[in-house]
Formats: sequence, C-alpha cells, structure tokens
Amino acid sequence: MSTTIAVPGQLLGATTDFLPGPGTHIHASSIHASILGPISRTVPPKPAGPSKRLTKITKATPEPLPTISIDRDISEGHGQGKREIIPEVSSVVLCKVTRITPRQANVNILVVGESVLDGDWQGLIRVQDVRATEKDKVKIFESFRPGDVVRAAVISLGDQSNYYLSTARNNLGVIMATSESGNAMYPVSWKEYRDPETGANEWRKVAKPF
Amino acid sequence: MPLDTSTYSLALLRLDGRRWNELRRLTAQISTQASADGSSFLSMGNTKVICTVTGPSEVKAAPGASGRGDEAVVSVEISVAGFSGVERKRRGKGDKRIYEMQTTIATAFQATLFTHLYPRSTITISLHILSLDGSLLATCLNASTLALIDAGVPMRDYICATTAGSTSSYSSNDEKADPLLDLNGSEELELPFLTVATCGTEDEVSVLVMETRVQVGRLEGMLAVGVDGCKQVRDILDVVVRARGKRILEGSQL
Amino acid sequence: MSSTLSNNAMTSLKRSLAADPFASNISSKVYVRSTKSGKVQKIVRELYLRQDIPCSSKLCTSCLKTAPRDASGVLAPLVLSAKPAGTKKYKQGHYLVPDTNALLNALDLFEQTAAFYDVIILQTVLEELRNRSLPLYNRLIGLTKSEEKRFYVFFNDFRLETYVVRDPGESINDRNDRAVRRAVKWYGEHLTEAVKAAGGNSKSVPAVVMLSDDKENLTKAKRDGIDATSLKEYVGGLENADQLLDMISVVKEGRELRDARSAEALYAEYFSVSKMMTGVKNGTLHQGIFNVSPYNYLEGSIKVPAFDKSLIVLGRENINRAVHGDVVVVEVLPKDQWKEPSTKIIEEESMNRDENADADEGEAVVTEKERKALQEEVKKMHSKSSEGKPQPTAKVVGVVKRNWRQYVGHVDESSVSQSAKENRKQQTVFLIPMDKKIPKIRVRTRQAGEIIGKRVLVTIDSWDRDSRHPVGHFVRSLGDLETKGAETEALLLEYDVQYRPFPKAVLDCLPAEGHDWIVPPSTDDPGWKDRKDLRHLDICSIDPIGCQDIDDALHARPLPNGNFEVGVHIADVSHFVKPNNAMDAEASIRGTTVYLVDKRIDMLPMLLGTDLCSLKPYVERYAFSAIWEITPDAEIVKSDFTKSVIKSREAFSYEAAQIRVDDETQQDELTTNIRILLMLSKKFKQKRMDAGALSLSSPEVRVEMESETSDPIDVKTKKHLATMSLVEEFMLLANTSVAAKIYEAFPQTAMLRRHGAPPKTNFEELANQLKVKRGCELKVSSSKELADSLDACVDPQEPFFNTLVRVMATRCMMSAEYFCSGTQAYPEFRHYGLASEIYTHFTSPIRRYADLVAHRQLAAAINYEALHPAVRSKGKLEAVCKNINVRHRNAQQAGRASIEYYVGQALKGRIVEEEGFVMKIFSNGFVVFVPRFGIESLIRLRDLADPEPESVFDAENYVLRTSGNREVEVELFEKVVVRISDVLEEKTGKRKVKLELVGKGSK
Repeated sequence: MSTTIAVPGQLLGATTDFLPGPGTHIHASSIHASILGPISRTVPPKPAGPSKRLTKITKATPEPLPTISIDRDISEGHGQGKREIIPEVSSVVLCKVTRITPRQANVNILVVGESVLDGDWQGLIRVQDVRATEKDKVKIFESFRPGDVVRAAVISLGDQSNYYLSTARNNLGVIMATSESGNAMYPVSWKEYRDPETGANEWRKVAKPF
Repeated sequence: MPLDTSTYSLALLRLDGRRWNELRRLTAQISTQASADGSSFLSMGNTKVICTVTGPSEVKAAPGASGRGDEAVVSVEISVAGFSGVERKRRGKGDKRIYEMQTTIATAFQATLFTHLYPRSTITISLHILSLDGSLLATCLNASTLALIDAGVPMRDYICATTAGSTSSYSSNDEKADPLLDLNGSEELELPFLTVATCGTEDEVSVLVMETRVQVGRLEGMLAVGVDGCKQVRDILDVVVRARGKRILEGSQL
Repeated sequence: MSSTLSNNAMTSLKRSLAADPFASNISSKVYVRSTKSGKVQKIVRELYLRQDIPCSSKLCTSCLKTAPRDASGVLAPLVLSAKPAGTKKYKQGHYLVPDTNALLNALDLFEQTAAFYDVIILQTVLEELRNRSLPLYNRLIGLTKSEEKRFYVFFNDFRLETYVVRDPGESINDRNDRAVRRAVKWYGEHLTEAVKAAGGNSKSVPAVVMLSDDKENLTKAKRDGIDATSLKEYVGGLENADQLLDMISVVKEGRELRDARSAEALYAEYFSVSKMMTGVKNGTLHQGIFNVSPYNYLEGSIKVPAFDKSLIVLGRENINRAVHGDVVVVEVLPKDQWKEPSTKIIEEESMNRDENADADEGEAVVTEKERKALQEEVKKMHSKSSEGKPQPTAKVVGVVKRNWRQYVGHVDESSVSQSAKENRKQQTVFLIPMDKKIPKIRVRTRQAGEIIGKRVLVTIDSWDRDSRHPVGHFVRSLGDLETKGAETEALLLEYDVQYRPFPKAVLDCLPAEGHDWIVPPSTDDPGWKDRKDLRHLDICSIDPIGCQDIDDALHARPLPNGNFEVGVHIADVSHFVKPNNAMDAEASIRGTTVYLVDKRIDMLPMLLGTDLCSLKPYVERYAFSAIWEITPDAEIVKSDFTKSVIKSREAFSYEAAQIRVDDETQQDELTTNIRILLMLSKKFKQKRMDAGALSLSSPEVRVEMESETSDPIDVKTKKHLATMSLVEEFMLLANTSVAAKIYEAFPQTAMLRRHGAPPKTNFEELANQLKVKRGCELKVSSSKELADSLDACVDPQEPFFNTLVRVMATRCMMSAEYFCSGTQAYPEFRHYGLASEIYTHFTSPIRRYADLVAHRQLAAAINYEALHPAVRSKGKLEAVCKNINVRHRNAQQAGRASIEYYVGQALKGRIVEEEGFVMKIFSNGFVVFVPRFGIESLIRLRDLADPEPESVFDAENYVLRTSGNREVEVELFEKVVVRISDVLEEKTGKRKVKLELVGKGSK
C-alpha cells in the first residue's frame, strides 16, 4: 500500500469531494494539510441498506463524503514501529505514591490502562482532587502514604513535569497499601485499611474493589 | 583585507562569489533532538541555528495573566552563543535587538499556526544561534517553521524567509544598483537590506523588516527578489520535510 | 587561505557531502586578522566557486552564453579585444597578466597610453594590491573603468578551475603567485579552445603573458610552461622602450645589487608593527605626523597628545628615513638630550653638495659636516640650559604610514656624469624636489642628459636601511625650468590641484542650451516654482577688476518706516549642479577654484562659472537671496531667505564703485543705495570690532602683467578701499545668518566653518619678542583682548610696525576649517577671527564647494526642495569637509607660490634697494620682510661677507652681532635697507629674490 505524505499547506482536495478531518484545514474552499503525516481517507460505513424491499419511492439519500485526515500519532516514532504509550486525559492509570505534602501527593505513573510504561511519568494528586465530596475535609496524610499503589484518572496534562491525577470516584483510590509495621493491609471500609497482624486500622482513600 | 562591496560592478560578483540572485548554501535537518517535541537545525551559509519546539503545553501560571484563554500563546526564546560571532562575547538577556526578533517571530507564527486548537496552552520556540553571518532573522524563521512541523503543530503553510539588499549604499544613491538576495554578514554591514518572509506559495508576505535606509525606488526590486528567494527557500525546506515524512511512513509500516 | 568545510558547527549534524549538490563548489576562506586593539580574530568566509565567470575575450563565444547579467538583464560587455597588439616576441598578439609586484612597482607604466592594452587583472592581485597600497588600488580601479585601456578584472578565486587551495606550510605569497600562474595557464588553454571552436588558426591565439618581477615566480612559470617575463624585459621589447624603461622602479634591481654587496645598514631598523602598537598603547612610544622645519632640513617636529610642546627630531639618524608628512612612531630621548628648537639655518644643498649619487663606496649616514653643524648646536644649548626651555627630543622608530606622493623637482646637474649626457647609459642621479622639506631622491635613468634643466615629476619607491637617500623613479617631464607652462603645472602638481580639463561626463551635466540658456520667460515654468521675482530691484555687483565669476550682488532701499531693506543675492549654483551627478562629484573633489597669477583653475565648468551662474549685469539670472530689514542703527529686524530671479543693473569694480560714491554729483538711485550700504556696513564693522573681531594682516601684493605677453612687469601692494569692506561686511552678515538658519534646520549635518582659538603657547614667542624689544604686552586670553593689545602695539616712528606685528600674529593663528555640525559641540563652532558664534560659507558657490553644500541645505531649510541624502549623511559630509579643507589650504598655498614665482620673474634682471624689517633671527642668519613686494627672505651670515664672519647670537635679546671682516648688529623688528636682486636658487630650481643687507634705517 502506498500511503502518501502530506506537508503543511499541501492541497488535499476540494470541500465538495471530502470532509475535513483532523490535521487539515479549509482555505479558500479547498482542504489543505496542517501537519506533516500520511494522508488517510476514511469512507464512512454505508448506512444499513433497507432490508426490506422498498415499498415506496424515497429520495435517494446523498452519498456521505469520505473524510480526509492526516494522522499524527507518529511523530515520536523513533523506534521501529513501537508506539510509545503515554497517559492521556481521562485514561486510568496505576501509580505509586512517592511523597506527600499537606497540599498534594506526588506519584510515579507505572501503568496506563492495560500497558506498563517504560519510563516513569510524574503525576500529582492535589488535595482537592482526592475525593468528590467534602473536599474541604480531606487531609492528604489520611488518604495516601508513600508506597501506596493508587488507581487514578488523568484530568490534565498538567504543567511541564507532572500529569494531574484525580481519585474522586468510587472505583479510584488506594488499591494496595502497607501498614506502618510493613505488612500488606486489606481494606475494611471506604476510608480504612487494616493490618492483618496487628489489627490496627489506617486511614486511606480506598478504591472500591470490583 | 579582502575586497569590499564596491567591486560588485566589476564583474557582477559578490564578496563570496555569488551572483545577485543566488542564495547561499541552505542546509536543513529536522528532528535533530529526540528530547524536544520538535526540533531542527538550519544553516544559511555560515549562519547556523538550532531550533527546538516545546508544546503545546498547558499554561502553568494563572491563565488570566497571559490574557488569552481561547488560543495557544507562541513564545520565542533566542539565545546567542558566545562563540557565534568573530569575537567571543557574552550577550545578556536584555539585548533589545534579540527581544525584537523574538517578538517578530512570535507574531508571525501566532498568525500562521492554528493556535485556537490549543486553548490555554503555550508553544515555546527556542532558538540557539551557533554561528552568525547575516540573515539571522530569516534563518531563525526558517528553522522555526521546520521545528514546528516536526512538533506536529498544525499550521496554515510554511513560513519561509530570506533577506534582500541592494548593491550600493543609501548615500551613494546609485540608481543602477542591483537588488541582492540573501546577504551575508559583511554585506549586511555595508548595504541596505530587508528581511521578508512569505507564507504559502502565493507570495503572501507575513514578515517584512527593514532597519536600513534605501531610496523608495529601489525597494520594489529588493522586495521582488526577496519574495522570489522565499520561494527558493520553500522548495528546499519542502524536500527536507518530505524526506522526514517518508521516514515516518517507513517507521509506521514496520 | 582556505580549508574545505572544516568549520561545520557540529559534527553530529554534519550531512554527508555527497548529498549536497553544492559541495564541490563551496569552499571557505579562513584567515586571521588582528584588530587595532591588538586582538587576533579568526574570520571565516564562504566562497562559492563557479564556472560562469567569463574570460571576457572577444575571441571566445562559449563564455558569452553563460556571461552574467545584472538584475535588469543587461550583459556586461566583453573587454579584451579580439586582436590585441603584438610585440617582437609575441607577434600573434598578447594579453598581459601582471602580478602584484609588477603593479606595485610600475603602475605609472600601466597608465601610459603608448602601450599596456588588454590587461587582465586577477582578483588575487587586486586584493593583494589593496592590502599593500590603497592609492595604487584606486588608480587601478580607475584604469579598469576606462574603456580604451581595456583592463579586465578576472575573479580567478571564484572560478572553479582557477581557484587554488593554500597548501599546508605554503606562505600566502606563494599561494597567490601559484594562483596567478594557474589563472594564466587556464587563460591560455581556454583561449586555444575558444579559437579552435571558432575554427580559427591555433597560431592566431593571443599569448597570455605573465608580468612579474619576482625571480622565483618567473622560474616557476617557465617550468609550468607559461609565458612569463619580467617587466624590464617586456618593456625592453616595446617600441618606445627608453622612455618607458625609466619608469620601472629601481627597487627590485637595486636590492639585488645591494644584496650582492652585503652592504651594512646605515639606519636603525624599524620596530615591528606589533612592538610599535604596544608601545603606543602603553605610552612608551608616540605616534604623530612628521613635519620638517622649513629652515633646517635636519630638524623635524611631531605633535603628540602626550606633550604640550611638539617633539623635536634632530639629525639624520634620529629622523631615520621619515619624510615630511609621514605618520611615524617616535621614542622620546632621555631628558638630558632635550634641546631648544634650533636657531640655525641648515640647508641640505650647502651641506652635501658634492655627494656622489652613485655612491658606491662606503657612505656614512651622517657626514662629517652635518655632524659638526649639529654639535655646535648642542654645545650652545648646554651652555644656557639653565634658563632655556628645552623641548623634548625624540627619534623615529617606525613608520606607520608613508605619505609619499609624486614630487616635482629638477635633476641636480652636478650629479650627472658628463659622459652620460651624450650616450644613453643608465646612471643614478639626484633629483632635488621643489619642496625643501623633502630630501633628495636618488633616481636611475637613461635620459639624464635630456632631463637636465627640466621640471620633472618623480615618485619615491622606497628607502632602505642601507641607502642614505630615498630611491625613486622618474615619471615624466613637465618642460623646461622657468617656462611658464612647466612652472605652473609644477605648482599645480605640487599642491595637488586638479587641473585637467573637465571630462565628458561632467560636461554632459551642463544645460543643453549652453550659452543660450536664459531664465524662462514664462513664470509658469517649473524653474520659477517658489522663486520670488526680484527683477524690479536695483541690484548691482561690486567685485575686483576683471572678475568674471560674479557670485554676489547687493541691493538696498529705504522702507517707509525709516528702516532699510538690504538684500544679498548669491548665484544659484545649486540649481545647475544637482547632487551626486558627475559634475557634483568633480566639484566636490576640486573643492575650490584656484587662482594663480595668470590662470584660474575652475571648480565648475566655464559655462556655469562665468556665464549661467555668474550674476552678470543686464541679464536675468537665478539667485538665492537673503533679505533683511535693518534699522538705521544696523539692527536686524527680520531676515528672509528665498530663491529668486534678479536682473543686475550694473557690475562695478571696487574702484569704480568708490569713485561713484565719492562723487557728490551722482545722485541716481543706484549710487544712493550704495551709500546706504556703505553707511550700514561701517556700523556693522564697528559692532564686529567691538565684539572682538580681529583685524589681521598678511602681505598681499598684486603682480601687474603686460597685457599682451602677460609677462609680469611690476608688483604692487593691494590698496584697501571702503567698498571692499562694504561687500565684505554684507557677505559676513549673509554667511552668519545662513549658518544660524541651516544649523537650526539640521543640527547634526549643517556645513559650517569654525576658527579655533589658538593655544596660548602659539603666541609665547611673539609675546616675548614684543616684550623684550618694544615693551608691548600681548594678551591672548580672548580675541577681544588680543585685538586690543594688537592695537596697542605701535611704534610712533614706524607706522608699518603695527602691520608687521599683525602679520606675525596671523601666523600664530590656527587655520579656519569646514566641519559638519554634528562633529563638534556648539561652543566649538566659534569663529575666533570674526568673533562670531557660528559661521559658514554661503556667498561664493561658484568657486567653493562648501558654499554649494550650504546652498542645498538652506534650500531644504526653507522647504524649497528636499534635502538630498548625500548632503544629509554625516559620514559623507565629514569626508567632504576633510577634502575641501585640504583643497582650500592647497589652493591658498598654490596661489601664494604662484605670486612668489611671478614676483621673482618681475624682478628678473633688476636690482632695487628697498626697506625691510627683520622678522626672525637665527644664530647664523636672519629673515627680512620687504613690504613693498610682500616678500620675505633669508640673509645668511655667509652672504654678508666671505669668509663667513664670526658671530655672537644673543638669544634672550634677539640680537645678532658679527665681527671680523664685516661688523653688523642686527636686531629683531629692526628696519633695514636691503638690495633686492634675483637669483636662480640652485636647490629648488626656482627663481627667487635674493636680499643683501645694505644698511640700517630708512633709505
């Protein structure tokens, strides 16, 4: 298959022939590329044809136009074909708490969705993003401790160094925690973990188990 | 002491052996630094610039401060290496000329990039000047175009820039002066010149800067030669970009 | 000089060269230069090699196809002719390719019209020549622009085939020589091919001949199979070889000769450039312009910023080959060797009369005689060093820049061997320059016999350590000594006056109508735009008798309110001379019209100067008018400047105007108006005097000529008439008001004239002399004080004494100069002599370029026309000022020299006794000034009697007493009677007056 490359400003076709997709723009009633990348044309699936024989004459629905777009997920493709997976807004990630302060918890993002990441991506959970209700009562040290593994959702690409994460949903929060004496704990309520050996309870923002 | 620009009329040859309508050697590479979102290296003659693009990334500070909630802000940083000129010189941040160039470049790209796609974010263009020999602004604009394409920032079209001058100085008032394309450092010192950038193939001028004096009569010729030079630059950049596109394609098919 | 692409910034970013379509055609030039501050910089330049640089021979068709076109598509014409001239050796015709040495040594030859056509100048050579000598480079560029000489500049360093990379370890000179050889070879091959392609006979291919004086280069050329020859050999093969051979500089040959003899150096070696630079920078050495004393050729002085008084350089060894005008670096001698400036006259001619020009056997730097003369000096100094004020002395340790020009002189007959007069054997002769400050020049020539008794032009080529005198070569002969033509041309050359006829390009700028040009009759004509019609005014001009270029005219009329309207109308030259055309360029180079006794060298072509611009009577002319309303007390009420059209009623001479004014019966309008002007001018003058304007004096005489042969017959001192100061006052007024106006409009670029206040030290000697001899006190702290104290310097018995003092005071003044207002602070604008805050020259645009510039600026200031950029650029104006200052000075000197010459001629064969005054006293002579003829001359003690009488010089009281065979006592300012006769001065070949002391007191 020969895919052609478009460069920014390149004429792709008239607006009467195509619909503009991502990576394109309209200039003087024709579609031009806005970024560098392979051109792809997607023809929308035909609407399911009438299964029954036509019983009355209808106006032929106009043929939907193909969408023309430029793919752009490939610019980081230094390696041979392996795509780098990076967290995106709204993806659910697993991360490990590295450090807490009264205002935020810093985490390392380890897994995005189903895939394990190569490197570490820094993220942070601000105090107001820990849970959805009673935000003003949240205390970071009653929600996370360094070493906890947390399931969180990405809410923003954040600043230069950190993704901003949130645990403000029932299914998000700490999924694995160790007690002060170093034992793995199990959740006992929406905000408590218990050490099986000492029987002591510790506060956490607990993720609702499946 | 080599000859100066006054010898042009002897054989219609410039100081470095070019004709009036010839560009210097222009070489460009794209994606030179893996760590940046987009990067390029571009040299026009002995003027060499590295450009890296970061972003679009979200504005860190309070968004109210930048004043543009609905589109990305293009910011440009230029650093001139101490070894770029003939004499080693430390240049402070407060250099007004550099500041002006930053603004010029930022304004040019603000209008050409589709900044409305990235509200509340910044696109930072960093230019590092390694070597200086005239046509600096033009080189910076060309390098930025390449790096922005590499970064995948949507844009209307290439911005291509070059300089155009005139073979004799303002005060000599020589009406027969030829226009010149792409001045090098020593020509810029002596002759009047302008920097022109076009966007797209249709001679749409997006930047025009002129800081020297010249008779109005000569301006049209200079401008025409400059715009024509931009076209030549565009063709060269296009080859580089397409080569890069081809490599991407090969990569994605593996 | 180059390294291929080794200068890429980052190796990791370097692309493979193969991918670059230009790679083989790009090279870069890396060279190192050092800045003024001593830093070393490495410069990298790109070099684009190409194949479309044409050979420019009309034989070649292939180059024509690729020949470059400029932006408007015009093809540069081919230069070299298809059938170049041949010589004995190159019968088929030849093109010449000189190397740098050939041009450096003999550019004069290339400028000859007899030979040297079809010359290829290589870029390598051009660049090298520019480094070595800018004036020569400029002359060469001039040659390449002349169409008939057919000089073509071939940019060999940009052509792929002829570009040469400097090998490691190769010197730049060797590389350049190789580049020249490569280019010559390429040319040869290229032409052969071209002729073959055109189907021509290979025998008809012109030879390409390299001219070089470098032996090694010649040998290498022979080895490479290139036609190469030395200049001498080449010229020897030409038809007029004898004439041309002399022009070849003797430098090269001479050096070889000397090297063979291993001569010992006579002079100390110069310091290296870097040593001089560091020395000057840290203050141990000083840089300045070397000036030779007019009375003593062994004494020079240098003004440096570090010392108040100028440094004295005494003796040949210390002068160390510096020539008057050179920029030199000196080292100050220890304090115990400091001296007072000499009080003795030493002339080269009398000292080294019998020197042998060929001087093969050991010559010493300082002859015994010279040594003695100087030693006596020193002794005298030591004896009274207690109260004397010794001046620092110094010795020259290096020359930064030679300011050698072409010198006019004559051959010292005694240095020519008798046998050589008949045959054409080459020999060395001495050439004695007309300017006493220039040492004799040793010249090798074959035409010694012919040029004896002629005025000749020579150039100094070099002055080596092992040669007592500079070595030069003969350029051309101007004609017999003492013929008017030769002497006038000599003067003009000596003072660098451009006297050649105006070139065609200049004449093309004149109005097409020629003498028929008139002011357009219709006032709708564009020429009338913004011009006031002043034809109804009674305007007249007052000038010297016979004046043709009338710059100015005047009018005055009473106004109803009791005030007067006075107008000064100046020729509107700027209407005819537009900025930046060929005529303007020529005028700006000439700078001023030069007046000689019998000749005028115009700044502008005759048509303009004496007709179209000249405000002749009875015709309408364009003018630039300044019009004032003036109260009867000479207060200016308002002033106005405008372009106008006038019609002068009459052109008066000073005398005629004076007669008319004095004649009570004349009551017509014109005369009454002149009387008004006269009345006002007296008041203006009084005001000026009250403000401290100086009335200075310099001896002015007029030479009367016989009307037909224009031989001089008598000398008259100029008379002063009231009408003269009438004109002068109004011109001053116009100049001052215009200066203020243009300064207001263009504070950065106004063309002004200033006269600096003279430093006090200038007057020290004169003040002391007056105090000792006459008890007068000279106050110099302001021009007002000076003017007053000069007024007080009177001798009741001797009315002329005051004038004498003024003459001497004038010589202590600085000279006035043009400048561009942006270069000085406002207080520095002051004109000291006129006691005016601001001043310019506006009133003589026909004969001074500065006035023309002022006209343009004033026109712009009154919004008549836009100011041309060339008149607005500060840098350009500064260059113009610099040039016209020099030209102005030269013109004055040339004028004076011309008068001096004619005074000599007028007195030829006559003996007169006249009164004179002692102006300056030396220990072995004194200077007498004769007001009747405006001459001053030296009387040496040895002229008084033979043998030279013993003398005692009392330097404190300025008295010289002689004893022995003639007893005289001469005092400063004393009135003496002298016998004036003429004598041909052997040293300079000038006929000069000779004074002999007859007695004291009045006749």
